[in-house]
Amino acid sequence: MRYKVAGHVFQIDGTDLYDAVAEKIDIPYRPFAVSDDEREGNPLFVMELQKEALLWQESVPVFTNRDNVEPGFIALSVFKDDEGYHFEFTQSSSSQVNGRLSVSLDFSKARMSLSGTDIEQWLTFTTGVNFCYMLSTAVHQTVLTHSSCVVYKDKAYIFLGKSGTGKSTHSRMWLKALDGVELMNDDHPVIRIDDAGMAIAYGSPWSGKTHCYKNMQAPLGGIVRISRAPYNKASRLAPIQAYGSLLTSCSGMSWEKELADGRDSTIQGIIRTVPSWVMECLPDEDAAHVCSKSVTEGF
Amino acid sequence: MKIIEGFRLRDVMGQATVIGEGVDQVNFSKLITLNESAAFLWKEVEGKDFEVETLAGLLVGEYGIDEALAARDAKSIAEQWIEAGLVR
Repeated sequence: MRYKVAGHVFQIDGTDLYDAVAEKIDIPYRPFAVSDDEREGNPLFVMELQKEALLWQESVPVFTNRDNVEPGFIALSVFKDDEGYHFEFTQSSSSQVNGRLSVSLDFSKARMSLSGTDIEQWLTFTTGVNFCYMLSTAVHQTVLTHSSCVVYKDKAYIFLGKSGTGKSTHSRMWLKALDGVELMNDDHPVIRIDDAGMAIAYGSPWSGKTHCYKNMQAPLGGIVRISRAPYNKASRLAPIQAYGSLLTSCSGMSWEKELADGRDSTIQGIIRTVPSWVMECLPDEDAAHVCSKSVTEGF
Repeated sequence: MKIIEGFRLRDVMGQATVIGEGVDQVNFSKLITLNESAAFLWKEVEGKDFEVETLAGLLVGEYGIDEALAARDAKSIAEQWIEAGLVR
């Protein structure tokens, strides 16, 4: 099956091999499905699920966060050899493996095997697809941002912040306090710079705990970092701060120079044309009024 | 001393900026901006072993300043890099 997210086509094969995937894939991914037709473009990557567990030679990870991931979250170890990159997803609480993903050096081919409970298999699968997408689009003026995204008056606004700072809550305050607000994505919207140099926000199949899988797009109107405070105040960020703010919320294997260069170029292209803000705020409707006034009026 | 692997100098919106992009800098969340002479020195010594005297010599060669001033500037820049955890 082929899917198109932010204009990038990718293909996933073998989803029927895992009941956990076959049952769940429709809701988040179907809005992005496209025909196999050449007119939709060639896929940037093809991921093939397989039943037998993937294996590779390397035993020392390039990167691992196995020892410092919060309970209940998936830990990740990355290996690299002549064949490509290998990712092992494990439960933080144990060393139980929930999935293995191998991606070719040019990021165009991927294979994945899954294990564990249904929900573990599903989460590992969709994280694996998200990784493949991030890797293969990094050099195409595209970033996946960890943020919540709303559309208001035909423009998209993304809310950044560490887990638990209230990105989703702030989106909900906009939905409650203002007319004509739509939630585009609640966890991983995509931003892509088009041929004219304009930053466009897109919905994606990756929306965290919120079921919001909209195949929609809007020009990016503002980037807002959410910071908890006992008051509501929006302040414009200077270019370096804006760069740092967005960089912190874009995932990527920055130790691979090509990927880091791609991410750097995309982020600079975005902040050159889109204003960034920090919104010190309470989780209330007044925060939405203060923030929306600043980002739409520009001060 | 040597610049720690994984720190990369980039031009961010016209400002020379050091970013931690290596595996060991995954949790290094700071951006460090460099002035023109510090950025010049960074490019010269990246990947190499160097001493404060190396930096001072480079400053004399590039900017034609006197050696005492170059030694002071070099010491100050090296101290800032050590303080920021960019070299060891």
